[in-house]
Amino acid sequence: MFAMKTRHVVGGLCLLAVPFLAAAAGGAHEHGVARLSLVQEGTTITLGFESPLDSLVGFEHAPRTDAQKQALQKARAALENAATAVTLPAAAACVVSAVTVDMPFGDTAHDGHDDHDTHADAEAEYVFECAQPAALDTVTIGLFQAFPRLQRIDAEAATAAGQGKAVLRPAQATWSLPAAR
Amino acid sequence: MRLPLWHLTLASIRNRGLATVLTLVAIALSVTLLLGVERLRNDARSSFANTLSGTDLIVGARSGAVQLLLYSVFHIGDATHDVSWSRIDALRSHKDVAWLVPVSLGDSHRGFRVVGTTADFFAHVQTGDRQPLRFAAGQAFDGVFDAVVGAEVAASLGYAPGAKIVLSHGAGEFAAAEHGDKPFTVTGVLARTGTPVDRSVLVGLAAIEAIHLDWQGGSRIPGVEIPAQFVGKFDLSPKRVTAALIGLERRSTVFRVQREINTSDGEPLLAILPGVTLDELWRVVGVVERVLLAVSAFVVAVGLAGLVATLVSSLSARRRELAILRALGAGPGDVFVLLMTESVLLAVAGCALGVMLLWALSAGIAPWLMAEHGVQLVARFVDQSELVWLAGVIAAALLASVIPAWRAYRYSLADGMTVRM
Repeated sequence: MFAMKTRHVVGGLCLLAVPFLAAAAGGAHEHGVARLSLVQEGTTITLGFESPLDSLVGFEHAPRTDAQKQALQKARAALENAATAVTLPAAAACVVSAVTVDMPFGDTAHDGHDDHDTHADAEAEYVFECAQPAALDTVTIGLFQAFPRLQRIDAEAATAAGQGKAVLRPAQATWSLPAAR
Repeated sequence: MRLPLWHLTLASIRNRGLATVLTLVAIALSVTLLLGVERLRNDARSSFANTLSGTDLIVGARSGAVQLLLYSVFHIGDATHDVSWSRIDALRSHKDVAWLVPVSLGDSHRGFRVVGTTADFFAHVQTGDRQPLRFAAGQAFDGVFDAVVGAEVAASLGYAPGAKIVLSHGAGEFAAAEHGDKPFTVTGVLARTGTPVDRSVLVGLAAIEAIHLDWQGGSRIPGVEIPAQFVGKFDLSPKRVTAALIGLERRSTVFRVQREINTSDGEPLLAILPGVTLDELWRVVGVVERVLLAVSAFVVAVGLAGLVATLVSSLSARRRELAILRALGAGPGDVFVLLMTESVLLAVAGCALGVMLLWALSAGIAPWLMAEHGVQLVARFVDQSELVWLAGVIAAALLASVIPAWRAYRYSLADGMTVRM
């Protein structure tokens, strides 16, 4: 019967899955794919976003033209705007308490050498204080609108209700957190 | 006066007993399969999800995340590498780590896995919704040759505290690989959890070292035999373990600690969030689940096709009957409705029979599924999502019955009383 081999089927499948799942845990640099983490500790929600620079602005070297400098500034501004980057449910009554954005090639105009063969990542961290953390069932990601090159976000959560993973895409930018399941 | 249509329907179904019963059975079996696949999928998921809670990270040798989760928690598959004890010890004193439970696998007892660990296992490992492990009898292991057995081990082998058991090297296929010179005493039996813990024999890490003192590379060192009473003279501190479960002081550090471990130099380690990795697993298994579901949906389609075939083939035999109905005053519409009612009634009856069959089947295999695979099949009649599936089956039946009903409608327009059979 179909029931009998469940465990073996699951086990066998996992071995097949190993090569491409290994990358997820290691933190590989894959263009078009960003990573998002969410941690809830009491009333504090911390979201960490990390993306290859290419997925945000289309290049991964120090800006050479004015257009590229502007693109970097625009990307930084989009990441710094927590209200549009991530939307938490109104019922959770969250307010932004800190936003940190770390962009490569951001502040100094030119640091002397272009990195052609290394990758560059942009990072952002959003800290929210939520009066009703139990009402936090979904997170809607607005970053797909700001960055059309971004095709996928691998999102991982650790909340009081448990841990979970979701893959977000432009057409499916709302993340159901483990609590909501 | 209108004809009592439902009465005619019942009478005409009864008139073709065997064909009807066979069609009914086909539909019932296909519905059982469809709902069974769906139910098994849901229950397997919740069983897996309930296996471990309260553990923030699992650390093992660097391999695949899913692989690490499967061998360390679900005892499926084997580790490719061990982790040296010095690394585990260093992690234990990491400032963000609240507790660490090492796990050492590789031995077995009559088909059940032996898990070498520390007494912290009983304090920190939780299942379901943060349920701690409880002892049904006895207490945790204390001496080197003490063992705690899971509920399933105790039930199927009839163990109670005080029983003497012998562990085997590896999966236990060869009697020669038995650690017969160093028997263990059962000190405790754990309460049933519905997780792989039920099928585990838990011993201290020192015990794992002790039974392998006179072993090397999977077999006994010839001529060397260290009696159990002398093992205390040897260094029984663990050298290597398979994996470790970690609880953190603060959950907010989980991704940072994970990254720290995954990018650390030296011996390559992998840290995973068990809940995250389980979701990764479901994403992969989801493909197969959808295939299974599609196959069972096709089986339902085959069942319904059988229903249509039975009705259509019966039609030519019923042309005179339909003509008589017409002569008695039934309109072509009535004939159409008669046939529709017949097939939908069969579909509904098939669904009902299928649900009952599923209930009986799941009640029958639930204990075995629990014992063999740790999947808890929750006994229930139908839930909301299953009702949606059933409604779908009946809707499909309604759609399919248009074919025989339409044919009957056409016949009833064309045929007179003088149909040649």
